[in-house]
This record gives sequence, C-alpha cells and structure tokens, in this order.
Amino acid sequence: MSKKRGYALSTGAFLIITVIVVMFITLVPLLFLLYQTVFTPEYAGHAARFTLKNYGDVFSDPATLMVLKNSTEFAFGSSILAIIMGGAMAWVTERTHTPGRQWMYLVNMVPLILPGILTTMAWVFLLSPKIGLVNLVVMKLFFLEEAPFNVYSMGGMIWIQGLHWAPFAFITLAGTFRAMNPDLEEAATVSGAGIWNSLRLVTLPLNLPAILSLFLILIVRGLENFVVPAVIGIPAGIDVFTSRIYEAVTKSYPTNLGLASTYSVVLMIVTGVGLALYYMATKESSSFATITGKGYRARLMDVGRWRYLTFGIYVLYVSLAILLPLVILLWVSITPYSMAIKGANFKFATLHNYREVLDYPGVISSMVNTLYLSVVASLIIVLLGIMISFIVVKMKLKGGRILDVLGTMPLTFPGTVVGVALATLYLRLPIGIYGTAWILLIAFVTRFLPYGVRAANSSLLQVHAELEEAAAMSGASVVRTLIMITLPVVLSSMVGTFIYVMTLVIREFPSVILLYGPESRVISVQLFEMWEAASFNQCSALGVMMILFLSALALLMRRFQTKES
Amino acid sequence: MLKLVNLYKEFKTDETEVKAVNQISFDVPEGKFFTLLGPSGCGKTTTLRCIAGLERPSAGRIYIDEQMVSGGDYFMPPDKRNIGMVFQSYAIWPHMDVFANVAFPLRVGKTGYSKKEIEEKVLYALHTVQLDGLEKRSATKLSGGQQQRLALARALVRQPKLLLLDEPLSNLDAALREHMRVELRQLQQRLGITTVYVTHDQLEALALSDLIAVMHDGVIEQLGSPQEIYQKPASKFIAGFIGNTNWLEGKVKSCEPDKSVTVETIMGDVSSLVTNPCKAGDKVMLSIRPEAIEVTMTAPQNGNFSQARVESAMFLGEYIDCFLRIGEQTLRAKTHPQLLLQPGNQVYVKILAEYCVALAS
Amino acid sequence: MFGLRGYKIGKMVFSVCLVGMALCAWVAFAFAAPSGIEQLANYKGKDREQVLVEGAKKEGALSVYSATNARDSRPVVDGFQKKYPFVKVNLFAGTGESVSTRLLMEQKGRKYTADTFNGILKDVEKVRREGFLLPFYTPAQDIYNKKFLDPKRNWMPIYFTVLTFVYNTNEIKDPPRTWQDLLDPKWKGKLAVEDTDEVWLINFTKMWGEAKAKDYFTRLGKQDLKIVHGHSVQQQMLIAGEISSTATQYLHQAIADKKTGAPINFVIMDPMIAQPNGIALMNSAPHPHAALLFIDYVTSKEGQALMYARGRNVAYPGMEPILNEANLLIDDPGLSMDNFKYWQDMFKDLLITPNKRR
Repeated sequence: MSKKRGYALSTGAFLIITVIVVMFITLVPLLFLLYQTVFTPEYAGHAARFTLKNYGDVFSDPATLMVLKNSTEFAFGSSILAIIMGGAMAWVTERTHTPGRQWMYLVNMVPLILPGILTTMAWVFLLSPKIGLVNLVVMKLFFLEEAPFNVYSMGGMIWIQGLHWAPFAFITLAGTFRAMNPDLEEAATVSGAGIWNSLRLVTLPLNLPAILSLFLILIVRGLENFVVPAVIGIPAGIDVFTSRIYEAVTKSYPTNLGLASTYSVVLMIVTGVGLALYYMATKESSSFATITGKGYRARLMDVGRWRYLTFGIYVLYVSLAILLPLVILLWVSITPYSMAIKGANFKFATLHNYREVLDYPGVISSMVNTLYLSVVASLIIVLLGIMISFIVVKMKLKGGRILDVLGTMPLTFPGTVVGVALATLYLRLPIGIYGTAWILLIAFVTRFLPYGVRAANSSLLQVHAELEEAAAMSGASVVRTLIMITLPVVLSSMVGTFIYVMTLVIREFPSVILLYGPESRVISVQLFEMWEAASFNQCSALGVMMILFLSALALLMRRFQTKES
Repeated sequence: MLKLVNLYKEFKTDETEVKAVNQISFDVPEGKFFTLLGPSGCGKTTTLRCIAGLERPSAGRIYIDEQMVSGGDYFMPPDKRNIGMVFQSYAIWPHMDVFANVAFPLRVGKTGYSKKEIEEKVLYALHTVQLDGLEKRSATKLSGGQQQRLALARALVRQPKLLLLDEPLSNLDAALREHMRVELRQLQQRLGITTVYVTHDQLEALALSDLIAVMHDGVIEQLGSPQEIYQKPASKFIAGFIGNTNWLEGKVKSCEPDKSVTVETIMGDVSSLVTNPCKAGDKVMLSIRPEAIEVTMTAPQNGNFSQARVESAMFLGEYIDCFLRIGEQTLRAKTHPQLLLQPGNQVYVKILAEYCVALAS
Repeated sequence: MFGLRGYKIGKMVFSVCLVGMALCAWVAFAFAAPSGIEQLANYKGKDREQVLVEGAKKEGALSVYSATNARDSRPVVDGFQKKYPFVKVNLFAGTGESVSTRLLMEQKGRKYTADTFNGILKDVEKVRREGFLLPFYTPAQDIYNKKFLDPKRNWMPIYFTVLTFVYNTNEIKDPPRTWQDLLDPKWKGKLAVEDTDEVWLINFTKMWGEAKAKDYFTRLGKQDLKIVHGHSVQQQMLIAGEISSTATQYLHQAIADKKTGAPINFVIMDPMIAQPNGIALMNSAPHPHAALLFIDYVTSKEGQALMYARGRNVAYPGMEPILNEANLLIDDPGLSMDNFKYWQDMFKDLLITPNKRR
C-alpha cells in the first residue's frame, strides 16, 4: 500500500513541479507584455497612463500591412529554403551510400555558432552588385555587363537567412531520419517504389510532425530576425516588423515600450496562428510510433550510380552554405581592412586582428562564461522538454495540451521583450539575481524551452507505448518509467537537440543585452560591442576563432565516440 | 527458380572486415519452400537481403526465374525485381489504412493498374490472408497477428514469382506462432509460390520447409530435407543446433558397407549411422537424439543396452524429459509419458541405431 | 484640558505620529540618496584631492558605467587604478543604448550600483530627466572652453564624436569643400545616408533656420541616396567600396582607418556636428569620493591624454587640434528630445522615403 502512495506522491510532485516551473517561465513575459501594451511610457515625472492608443497606432498605420507582408514573405521564404536544403542533405546523409557522409554532422554543426551579423556581411561581400565576389567572377566568366545577383532584395534576404538556418534544419531532420525504422522505407522499395516515390509516399508523411515543428521554429526565427532586415532590408527599402519594434524601444524618447509591446503582440498573433495550424496538422501523429525498442542498425539505400549526383549536391551545399561565407570571413580576418580578394592583396595578410581580439578586454572570460552557460542551459532545456512532453504525450492527462502550448509559447516572444520583462521583474523582486549569470540562465531557458519541447515531442511520439507499458507492468511509477525507460531511449535522439540548443544559446543576443552584468558577459555581447567599436576584421577574427574552437571540440568528441563504439 | 552462385558479401568497418556471406550457392526449385536456418550472425539475413536487392553483393551471381539480377557489375535495384517480402517488424505503414498498405505496390509500379483492378487485387489478397472487411481500418489499430497477415497480403498482392520472409513469426506469442506456422505452410502450398524463409528457430524450419540450408559463419554447412538435416546432421554444430542431442565419445570398431558403423563406447558397442567416410580406429562423437534412446524398466531382449540410473524426470504432458546417468555420462532422453520414472530408479537404456549419427570428433 | 479620554487619544495620536515619522525616516533613509554627497560634490577647497583620496580609501571601490566601448574605456580606468590602487574599479562598458537602458532600469528599480555614467548627451539627458544625477564641481571646469560646458553642471565633456564627410579614395577623386557642394548633380548616386542621423537635420536647422534647412535637405533627398543602417555597417561599406561616400560618419573612426591603410579620407567641413560624450555623477552613488576622484581624473590632462591616445577627439583645451580649429556645431539633444518624432518623420520624408528602392 505504501508503495502505491509513494508512486502517487512522486508522480504528483513531478507534475506539480513541472507545471509550476513552466508557468513561471512562460507566463511572466507574456503577462508583462500584455500589461505594457495598454500603458503610455513612464518617464521623468510622467506616470504611465492606461491607453489604447498603442493598438490604435499599430492598426491604423497603413504601413503595418505592408510590413506584415514583408515579414511573412521573408520568414516563409527562408524557412522553406532552409528545410529543402537541410532536409535534402539529411536524407542523403542518413539514407544513402553517398561517400563522405560521416563528415556532414561535423561540417554542419560548426557554422551554427556564427552570429548573424558575420554571415550577413560575408554574403554582402559575395553578392553585392557592386563589390560582390561572386558577381565579379561570374561577370568575368560569362562576359556580362551587369551583375547577375543583387543581394539587396527580398530574394537576397531569403537566401542569406535560408542558408544561415539550413545547417540547423539538417541536424534536426537528420536526427529524425536516423530515429526512423528503416524497414518502412525498405518495404516501400521492395514493393516497387523508386527512390522518389519512397521519399514522397513514405518518408515525408511519416516525418511530417518533425518537419512541421521545424518549419514553425524557422518561421518564428525569421519573423523576429533583426540583423538581415537591418543590413540588407534597409538599403533595399524593405521594412519588417522587427525594425518597428527596435525603433520603438531604442530610437524613441521616451522609450515606447508600449508600442513595442503592441507590435510584439501582433507578431505573436501571427506565430500563434502558425502554432495552431501545427497542432491541427499533427493530431493524427500519435500513432506514428516507430521506435519499438529494437536497435536499428543504420541501413542505407544503395543509390547506385546516383551517388555521384548526390555527392555533387553535397559539395554544392557545403560550398554555398558553409564554405563561401567562411572563406570570406577568413580573408577578412587576416587583412587589416576590407579589400578585394585578389593575388595582389595577399601581401597584406597579417595576424594582427587575432592579436587585437585576444587583447580585447573581456574576450576570454566571455568565452568561458558562454560555454558554461550554454551547457547548463541546454541541459535544463532538454530535461524540462522531456518532462513536459512526457506529461503531454505519455500521460495523456486532460490538461496536457495546455502544458504543451505553454511550453511552446515562448517561441512567439521576441528576444528584446524577454529581456525587458525579466529585467523589470527581477529588479522588483528581492532575489538578487539581476546582473548575474542566473538571470541569463532564466532568459535562455525562457527563450529556448520550446525547442526542447518540440524535439522531445517528436522523439517521444516515436517511442512505442509498449516500452513504457512494460515498465508500468513491472511496477514502475511514472517517474521511474520516465527516468529508467523513456529517458535512455529518447536521450540519444536528444543529443542533437542538446547541441543545437547550445548553439542557439551561444548566438543569442537581444535578450542578453539587457541582462548581462560585469561578471556574466557572454560572447554575443562581446561581439556586438566589438562590432560597434572595432572593426569587421576583428569581429571576423573572433568568429574564426570560435569556429576553430568548436571544430576542435567536435573532432575530439568524434574520436571519443568511435573509440567507444 | 532462384539460383545463387558463389554469393560473397563482406562488410568493411574502420577496423575489421566481416565476411557475412562466404561463397554460398544453392538452387531453389519452383514452388518450393526453402529455409535459411542458423544462429544470429550466420549470414542468413544478409543472404536474403542480397536476393531482395537491399544489399549489394561483393561478388557472385543471383538469378531469379532465369534472369540475372545481380552479378559482376550488373545490379538490378530492388524496386525492379518484382518480389514480395515480409519483414521481421512487418514494416506496416502507420499513416495509411489497410487498403492503402496493400495497394501500394500496385500503385507505384511501372504497370499502370486501373482503379478497379487495384481494388480487385487488394480485396483478393486480403481474402487470401483472411483479413476481409478490414480495408478501412487504420493500420496501427491491428493486432500483431493481423499486422503480420497484412504484411503478407502486401507481399502477395502483385502475385510475385518469389516470396521472401525474414523471421516473420518471431514477434508473435507461442500459440499464435504455431497457428500461423500451419497457415503459412498451407497458403504457400496452395499458391505454389517459391518461398525463401529465414529463421533461427529450428522447429519452425523443420515444420515448414521443403529444403533447409543450415548456415554458420557465412557458409552453408548442410543443405537437405528436414529429415536429412535432423537425422543425419553433417557436423557437430548442426547436430547441436537442430534439436537437443546427447554426445557420446567413441572409437570406430568397424565400418559396414551399408553406411552404418560400430562404435566402441562406454556403453558398450553401439551401432550408428554415419554420414562421412570413416575407418576403424577413428575417434568419433555419437550424436544421439533424446528420442533415439529407449528406456525400459526391464532388460530388453536384444541389441546393445546398458543400465542407467534416473537422475531427474520431468513430466511434460506429451513425454517425460529425463536425465539418465550411466557411469560418468549423463544422457537426456524423452520417454513415453506413462512410464513412471522417479529419481533413483534403475532402468535399461537401449540406443536405436537408426537415430544415432557418428560424427568426426 | 481634554480629560482622561482626550489624554488617551492624544497619546494614541502622538504614538502614531512617532511611528509615522520613524517610518518616513526609515523610508527616506533606505531609499533616498545618501545625504552629504551634495556638499562633497561641490567642494572647491584647495585640499580637494586629499579629501577625496581619504574618502575613496575608505570606500575602496568604484562602479563606472561607460557608454564608450571597453577598448577605449579600459586605458583610462587602468590609469586611474594605477594612480589610486586602493580603489577597485568595476567597469561596465557597452553601447549607449544598452548601458543607459540598464542604468535607468536599475535606478528605477532602486538598485543603486552605479557611481558615474558617461555617454552621449542624449542618454545623459534621459538619466537627468529622471532625477538621478547630481550637479557637481570639478577643477577642469575652470580650464575648459566655456562653450563646451554644461551650464547646469550636470555633466563634463570627455570627448566629442564628430560627424563629417568621409569617402572612399578609390571612388571619389574630388571631394566636396562645402555642404552646398553636395547638391551638385555629380553627387547623384554617390552619397550614402545613415538612417538614424536625425541629429544632422536638427543641428542644421538650428544653424540655418527651418526654411533654408528644409530646402537643403529636400534637394539633397533627390540625389539618389543609398540608405544604410548603423555607423559600423556604413564604415565597412565605405572601406569595401560598396558605398562611395557619406555625409555623416565618425571622424575619429575615419582617421583610425586611414592610418591602417584603408582607402579612406575625410574632409574637415565647415561646420561639423560634434556630439559631446559627457561624464555625470549619480546622486545615489554608493562611493561618492571615488566617483568624484574619477571624474577629476578623466577630465584632467593625464586622463584626457589616455583617451587622446585611443584616437578620440578629446575636450581638454589644446590637446585635440581639430576641435580648436574647426567650426563645430555642438549638439544639444535636450532641445529636440521632446518632439523627436517630428524630426524623425521629417528626416524620413526628406531623405529616406524618396530613396527607397521598392
């Protein structure tokens, strides 16, 4: 009897703790945001007054519709591009015999830590109609008069953002394909389906929840992206939502948090619609359990002669998405100022920028801080994500869906809003964590919890109920089952999630800028300051150093892994 | 119908080379049920997958219905081979209903079937496996046995020339397994379809097959009918693998021209069958099936017999599983259930020559 | 006189008042600025440095909130620490937006960590309007050029960010000499504009009057301007040759880039806009002695020399020749902050919107 009570207690405690933590993390910024939308700014002797003017301003402004259209086009276009590229690569890597597969994970993981400003600038240097390297080369080769590519366009924006996120799409989808039972595709092949039909009729429908999940995440990132619209959009005359929010927060006096929040609310409505569509589309997928606890040896489709084509696609993708920008950054990092890449200029090569970077106050400590924070934050996010998904997917409680929505909701919060909300809250509370690493941790968990939840959802959906039922039959409580059965099975597919959440944390900027303190500086802040104060060349040097460091780490991990297996 | 010539497949990993299938050749006549039997890792699944085209052989040739599907540089991809295959996990597509699962091969193939034709064929296939009436059901809502039959229906809907089955019964419970065994055999005989079956369960192999190839470490150790394999195993491994057996050491006394041999053992002289050529003085191991041992309470009239003491006896309903001790040796025997054996009883043990095989030591 | 009942009521009222006063005192004590700092802030005695040093020794620490980037802030802080090793300095350096926003949030949240704050005047003014600054005296006020100083003594200028015409020497062979030159049709398509430089419009209006300024900018807006966002981006584009020239780029940055060999040059225009970067004293400074000592140091010859060495256009008389010789428009953001949206809209209408590509 007491054992049963023990189970009920631990289950109850588990539920309560998870729910409370999630509610605290997700509802605080939301409520703060909504609260702000109906107030005028509070400043110098003027108290904040209740007003609906903010909503009036936003909805009566004729430009709002145009801005919404631009934002949506940008977000959708780049997401689709990222998924097509990343997804194609993921399938080729996990499902075919193409040579060089084993390097793809490594190669894709590395550029993930590059901040947007660096890759965007690199693409300007490649595709600018005036100075772009690609344009110059193509014009010379084909004797063209005019540059064929103009980066200052919606197409250019979509291209940059799409390529920037393609590695992320790759890692997500590769993990999904890996976890899938390869029998299902082989059965299709044996039944007469060629590669294309097998992909279209079996692989894609089965992986739809994961793909949609990814799509949603990419759309949100596209909607809240600020760098690409600033560097490319403004010269191109393309305004997006984030520019409005940014203006309201930084350029107005007094800081019009109310207006910024109202714009944010509109953004959130759009993403909320996306979220609702996602839920509708994935209703049926609870029956797509394909992991049955039998280990899969990866089985690869023999594509025969086509593997030369797929290898070619590999090379193309890696060059475009990864190598080209890196080459530019590398070149910029070894030159004292930005100059064209040609033989004559090689004499200017110097390591001066690297020395300057290492001398720059705070660089080393911010690297250490960032590493530490990203590991801890990712751990928390993965575990919390699994806990939430477990409650939602496996325990099938009535209010489960709500928890899922709560956990996914922070996706819709623009980064700046999270920063402002947390700063305001913790300045008021007597807990002295403002300006320390703890508040940064909370910010990261708030921002990226949805990634953990969605990834855990996809993983857990695939775990067959039998595994857990077997545990239940042997008398294991909910918590026990979670820890001893579900967790180990799901953990391997969550390793990918852990890694890319780490890179998201490393790259995170808008929420961090308001919360960091002198002891808790992180690399994104560091880079931002250097960007404002120093030069692109030095920032590139920092970027290259980050890449080298991460590559070394990844290679080390790989050696460690192969030794174990 | 199916012909393999010197099939060779190796897998290269970072450190080692694994010869999964090492020079295998056999012929499967049309309409026969052919089983690849062996323990895990013996290469039977790899062989099956080579036949299906899911693995590319390193060397050797495969012919299906006189046509070469793999050999030298030529390799026909699996989707062109027009075979039916049932996977161990069934590989039912969860996002389609029963009808769609079975109709899939008809819809994706080169031959365009009309909607009516598809419907006819699917319903017929479902009827063949006794899944009528379940067309609209979601594939995930089927029981294990139903899923297995669905997989079978899908494999048969195109009426292929060759049916491949990869341990299809291993996921079922014991009762269902037995039932399906019978059904499967009957179905195969009714359809007359050439079948290659892979299993590690020797009982299944013996029950279902026309021909069995016992595989071990990538080679076929013996190929023959179930009776041959069971009664005249060609090696120690086969004898041990197929059913239970007792081992008795001995020395050949004489070799008779009718392929029987007299072996000197601690039980006295024992006559036995022999599968390999031998001469007097050879050291052999006698493989004695439990059912080859006659146990009586009173001394038999003729033949070689010994006295033994009962160590343990388990009543299993159909027979008694008992352990008998003769000197240093323990023999396991199966006796008639009505024999009331108790531990400590003194009994008489006679070995029936036609069920013993002498194998090289 | 009031009887027993009155006596009891009186006692009650008196106790309540006592408690109330105690409460008020507590609140005042807990949340108000430490008293006595005002006197110190205006101390003009000959032994000023001694007094400050004594106090700073007891305080032992200092929090500097600087909107000047860390690389340029560090040398001054290090110099200060070398001279006064008993003060441990916590430097919180960043961009104007982040530091000023943080400062305001903290002060409003009653977290009084900052001792001094330095940034562009717009940010200093924001903080002042919230009542967080304390006017102060520092010896440098007696030496500096009067027109650089704040009459209300809320801040002292450390350096100026000067905006001027900067161009790529590969693209432009004949730079302009006056602002009017830019209206010449030959500049069509060769000029870039940073989309947050309303300060240009505001100060030229102050100089020329609204009519002339509006006319100038309307005509300039028709010159096929390239729109850029962010001075750093603009800088990179200039060097790379993506844009040919700009009317408002940081002079000190242009000088530094020219030194590294980049194809950059600048023109000392008449006039140029100078945005002061001022240092101010927080009225809730937890280490007032150290704070004033620091302000004295930063504005002294020694401190200013360190900033000059970083390439900044410093305020110390005679140290930065450009400030002496050039005709400067000192930007006073206080005038335009309240109707900033008016200027923002005008800037957008005249310069940005006519040049949008879509």
